[in-house]
Amino acid sequence: MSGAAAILPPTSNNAPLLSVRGLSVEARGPAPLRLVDDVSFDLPAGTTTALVGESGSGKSLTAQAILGLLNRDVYQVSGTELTFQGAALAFDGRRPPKGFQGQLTGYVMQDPSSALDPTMTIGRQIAAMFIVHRGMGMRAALREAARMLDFVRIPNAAGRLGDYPHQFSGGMKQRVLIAMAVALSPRLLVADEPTTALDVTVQAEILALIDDLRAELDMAVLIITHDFGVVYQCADRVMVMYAGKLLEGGDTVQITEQGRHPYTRGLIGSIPDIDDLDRPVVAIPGQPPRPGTNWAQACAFHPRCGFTVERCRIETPQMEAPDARSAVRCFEWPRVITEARP
Amino acid sequence: MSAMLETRGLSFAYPVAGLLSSGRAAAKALDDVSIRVEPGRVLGIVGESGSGKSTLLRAIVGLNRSQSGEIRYRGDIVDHAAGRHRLAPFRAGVQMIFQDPGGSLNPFKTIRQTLSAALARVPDRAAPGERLPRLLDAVGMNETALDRHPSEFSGGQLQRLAIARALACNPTVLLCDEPTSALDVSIQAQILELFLALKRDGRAFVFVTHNLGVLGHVADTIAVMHRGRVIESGPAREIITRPQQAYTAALIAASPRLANRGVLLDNARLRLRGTQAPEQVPPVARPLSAAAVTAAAELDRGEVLP
Amino acid sequence: MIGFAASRLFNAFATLLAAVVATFIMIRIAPGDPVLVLLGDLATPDQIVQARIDYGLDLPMYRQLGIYLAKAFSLDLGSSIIQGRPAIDMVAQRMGSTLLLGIVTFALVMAVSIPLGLYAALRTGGRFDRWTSSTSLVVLGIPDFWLGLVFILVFARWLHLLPSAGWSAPSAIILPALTLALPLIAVNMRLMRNEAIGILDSNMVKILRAKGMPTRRIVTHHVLRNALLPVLTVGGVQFGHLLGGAVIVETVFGWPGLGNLLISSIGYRDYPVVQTTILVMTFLVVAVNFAVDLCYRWIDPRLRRS
Repeated sequence: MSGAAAILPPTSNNAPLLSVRGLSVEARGPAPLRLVDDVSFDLPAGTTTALVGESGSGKSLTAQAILGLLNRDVYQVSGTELTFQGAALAFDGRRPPKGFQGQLTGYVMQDPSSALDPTMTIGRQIAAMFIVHRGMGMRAALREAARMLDFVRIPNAAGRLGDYPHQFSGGMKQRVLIAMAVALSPRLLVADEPTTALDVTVQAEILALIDDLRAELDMAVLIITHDFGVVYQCADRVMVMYAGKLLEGGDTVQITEQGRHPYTRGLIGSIPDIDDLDRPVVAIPGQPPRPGTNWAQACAFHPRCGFTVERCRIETPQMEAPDARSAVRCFEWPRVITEARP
Repeated sequence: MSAMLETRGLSFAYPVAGLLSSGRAAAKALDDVSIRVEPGRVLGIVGESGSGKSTLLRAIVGLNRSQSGEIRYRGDIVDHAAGRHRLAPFRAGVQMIFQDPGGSLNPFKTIRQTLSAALARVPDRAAPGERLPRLLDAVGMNETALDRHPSEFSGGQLQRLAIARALACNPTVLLCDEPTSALDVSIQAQILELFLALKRDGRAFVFVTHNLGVLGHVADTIAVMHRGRVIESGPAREIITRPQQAYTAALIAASPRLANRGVLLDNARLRLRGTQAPEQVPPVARPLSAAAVTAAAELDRGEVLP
Repeated sequence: MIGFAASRLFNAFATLLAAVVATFIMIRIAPGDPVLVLLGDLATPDQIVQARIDYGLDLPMYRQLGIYLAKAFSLDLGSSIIQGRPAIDMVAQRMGSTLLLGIVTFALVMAVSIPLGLYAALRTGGRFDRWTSSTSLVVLGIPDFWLGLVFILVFARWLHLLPSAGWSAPSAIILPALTLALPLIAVNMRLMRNEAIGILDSNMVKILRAKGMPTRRIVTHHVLRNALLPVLTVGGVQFGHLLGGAVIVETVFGWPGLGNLLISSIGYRDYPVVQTTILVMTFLVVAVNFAVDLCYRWIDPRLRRS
């Protein structure tokens, strides 16, 4: 347990929309694997927060655990606190309270092709939101569905209600998914790698759409990505995740320009920067650990880190907050900001 | 310098299947594509899905039937209809690397079996026992990998092994189809470093990707493809800093970047507000007006399109 | 859609033709002679020759085939050599009972296996799931004639609940249908279960849950429909088998169907009846598969493009 450790990132002035404390996810089995380990953060309303990490870091599991989407036969979710709009939600795997999924929260994922039912028209899939949650009849619900398709800027919205998912391009399918997610004006939209499978121009359009919807509906957005370029362009706040733990978090500009954690710096340094072709691409050596690796008393990043000292191998660093806007989980951060170049 | 690999006027259309119309030509997947790459150089090919960039690689290795145009390897015309024997130098000398690194490795065979089989295709005096460690060393792996199966490796390691398999034939040209797109950025950087090291050995690369940033760092020249055509090509730096085509400028503007915060979304909003989606940009290789060139250059500096 | 229908029609015709020709040749190659069966042991050589000429059996096989096909096109399928009645009448008389048995069995299989498979999937690893997975293996291991005999013994001989043979009463269909259905239920239930488990674990269901859809609605509106596709495919093939391949079960239960007719007419080498039976069976199989295709298109919109 982190005990008195700082929360990531420190609570803003507004009351948070969502508070997570000590969230852990374990894969059940004879030898349970801890895939998300003691994650704590707040999501303020109306802002975009990015959760960055590489595959296997536990970022998707974190989001799905919060939304109550994890299969309880496979995963065990635990934690000390999970509050949404001031009300406590349960961790114990029971289905979340009625209205939480769909009405208060929306979820968009990578690969929209596999997320839509191929045998049902787009119109009916969106209309289901209004039928199930608002008790509307099919005709009224379909009218609302057309309004939503128009809302996510699908041309000729009413004319496409009767189309099936395969008749849409990847980017258009992602818009449909977003339309379903925001149909009932949720307070929180979780977008799990929403643009990874898309072309860059489509990616930019989807990200702009999500940002416009955020402003229009005053939603909190949690965007999960592995691309720091995406983070920098569209998130107010960022959290960096590695091996199931949050390593750093805070204001996006500050973290991108002066990250304190060596992993954050490594992630940014390994991006081929289109604006600075002279800056070499520097890889982080080694491989990410297998999900669920037990680090006992050590920093999970120490085998790949250039700042490792003896202490990193024998003690788990705690989250600390050097200033009011950010937090970092590294013993050596003062050395990182003085020695490393951004 | 003479080209290692070259295409001239390569065209291809996927046949449309149908009861009475088998063989009717559809829209051209490749339309008069001419590219060249020299030893020790990387030719980057960028484009969005459906631009024909992967089809081009397939055409070069002869996976498409009935294509027109010319492919030259080391100056000689490659005739894919020719016999196995005559094609042997081309088949060994031009190797492909795919996006899905597991795809080119047999999951039921150990790495030793896969690599030995690949090595056996090319005569060499050195015994396989000596060549295997050298091969693994070249891709930054070691001999502990040999007796394991593909399922035991991570994505980045698999891509290294796939590259090792391709290198076993001692190729002079590597055709890479989105080789880092399925990998995390930190691993992508490792693979890019590996490519840069291999390039110093004098091998030629054709590097297909949708990520212009990647090409900015590994490519010497870039060809931009749109709807089966090369709409713009030139030195990599030139293309990225001074794109001549609106489409290229749009690709650059849409690339996630670590400068000019918010410009990505602003550009996308502007493009959406304008009537043209990128798909509708006419794919004609016409020079832009002076104003458009300035606009594109400004775009590249991160400024908002006027 | 018209193109689809035309190509299917052509395929159906080709299938029928191939079945007719193959049957025609095979039954003639097989040892035995309908004339000897008809005239008995006491026939004189002259009578035999005359009978051969009467039935056109003296001609070379290709000419017999030609005459047969020419007549078949004008819907004249010949008469039984043994009984003298038109073969099509004999077949039509039996077709009803075979169709009835096939449809009842098919309906029974689908009505039982789909809900049970779905139930097992919703409670994977539960008691019902474990019990059915072991039972289905046992059922699959039992030969159907033996199963039929056991049913007769238990339900007809010991319990006197149901008739054992013929079709004296409507309840006579129960035992043969059950015998045919049981192994198919075992197969389809497992199939349905596995499909449904895969779908319950899919991104689609994850999104449906995130949308706050009630579990009941997710199952009835989405899981069922998507899991049905492969079950339907297999079901179509099985239905075809039921119509053509229920020979053994029909024999065991004395069911007056096509299978029984086929067996007896093969015994008599009654060529026209054998050929007509096979032709009709093939027609039924083709028709069923066509119906399955239509269903498939109805369920899966991706296939609707013509």
